[in-house]
Amino acid sequence: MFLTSLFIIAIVVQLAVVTFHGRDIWPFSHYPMFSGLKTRAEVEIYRVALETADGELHWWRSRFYRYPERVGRDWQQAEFLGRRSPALTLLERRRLLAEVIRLLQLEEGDVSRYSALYIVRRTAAWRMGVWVVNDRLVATHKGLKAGGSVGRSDR
Amino acid sequence: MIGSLQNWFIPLEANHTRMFAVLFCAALAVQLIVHWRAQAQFFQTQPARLYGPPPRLMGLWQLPTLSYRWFLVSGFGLLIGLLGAITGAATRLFLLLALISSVFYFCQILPLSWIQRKTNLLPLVLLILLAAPASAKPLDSPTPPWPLFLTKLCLAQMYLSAGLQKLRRGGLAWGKGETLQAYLIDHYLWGDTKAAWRLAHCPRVCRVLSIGTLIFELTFWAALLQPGWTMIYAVMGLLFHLGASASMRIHYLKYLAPVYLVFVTDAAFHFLRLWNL
Repeated sequence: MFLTSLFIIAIVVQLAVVTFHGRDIWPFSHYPMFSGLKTRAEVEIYRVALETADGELHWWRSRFYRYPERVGRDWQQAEFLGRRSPALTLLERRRLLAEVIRLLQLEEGDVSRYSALYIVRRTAAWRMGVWVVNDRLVATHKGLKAGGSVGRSDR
Repeated sequence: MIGSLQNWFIPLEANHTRMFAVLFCAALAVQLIVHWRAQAQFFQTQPARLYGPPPRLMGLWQLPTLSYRWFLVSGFGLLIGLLGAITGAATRLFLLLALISSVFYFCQILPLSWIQRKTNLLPLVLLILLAAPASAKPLDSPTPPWPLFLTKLCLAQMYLSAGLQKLRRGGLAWGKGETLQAYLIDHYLWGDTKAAWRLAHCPRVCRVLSIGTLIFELTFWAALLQPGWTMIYAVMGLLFHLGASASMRIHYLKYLAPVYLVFVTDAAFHFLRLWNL
């Protein structure tokens, strides 16, 4: 009974700690998902688009669909940091592009059917009762090569 | 409240802990088998290259990055532990195997969309069942229900904390609906989810859903104090997660559903009596 009570208290205390301190101590978590306040003024993401050899354009859709999201968020972070450190941002961008190519190759086996990779800045704003989406090309990367290497990049 | 805590240790006429252990382990084993291949394939994409290494267990011990072979071994260990715990032979030994294996297995694939924090409760539940002597006793032996209360408390903490973080970071403004609209559009921009697009165009619906979300998350713990409310909150929870799954592809129920079985032990016993088992 004493040990059981001690065990229960330990679990309860740990749950309380992560809840009220607002931090994760894996596997205990404070579950902060969707807690940030967002505005309808502008929602911004960065998304990867692929162009095939015959000119067809489509979004990169990984079967593990969080990967495009992660790449986009890291790219967004790099864009933000780019204001202070352009060199680091360039390295980060090349790393992300190499990862995209690597993942494409893992999932599809062959990246030679793609001639270019585009980074698109997608924004959405609430205007008079409707969401208006705007896509703007921010970077182009041609010459995807197997092995994760990044070909020519233009901004 | 003190009266309620005493109830944790008063034996019930049947072993609800053992019933929950069987249901939980069976359901988790099924989910593991169903998603085995996809999870193994995800592991092979080397998620650590984008997401970083596995977390520290309890903030102290850095969990290792396993090789593919050891990842599969940990998965098999989890499966064997779960299936062994169902048999009733050396239950707590198998639960210990499942607990250790679950820690090493899931931490390797945490970035996977249906894993992330959605599996956080699994090692906690396994730990609770391991610590409960009732897990190894027959179904008809009277045993105290504290393991089930503690499991429900872990569920309640998940929702309460989620609600508190929303209030902490956004205050009551989170309930206005605009934030939910923005998150829905965010998901649409990523994944072209039509349901998210349609819902984001309904500000009043989003406002109602936002207020409902806050109320649900901040009051789920009340189900622990009022047993009559338990099933209401359990159903609300299922609807909440089904909605998130349909609109934003957030599949919490894959690995949370086994934990939710803590609410159906009464029904399970009723079913057994019906079939004279």
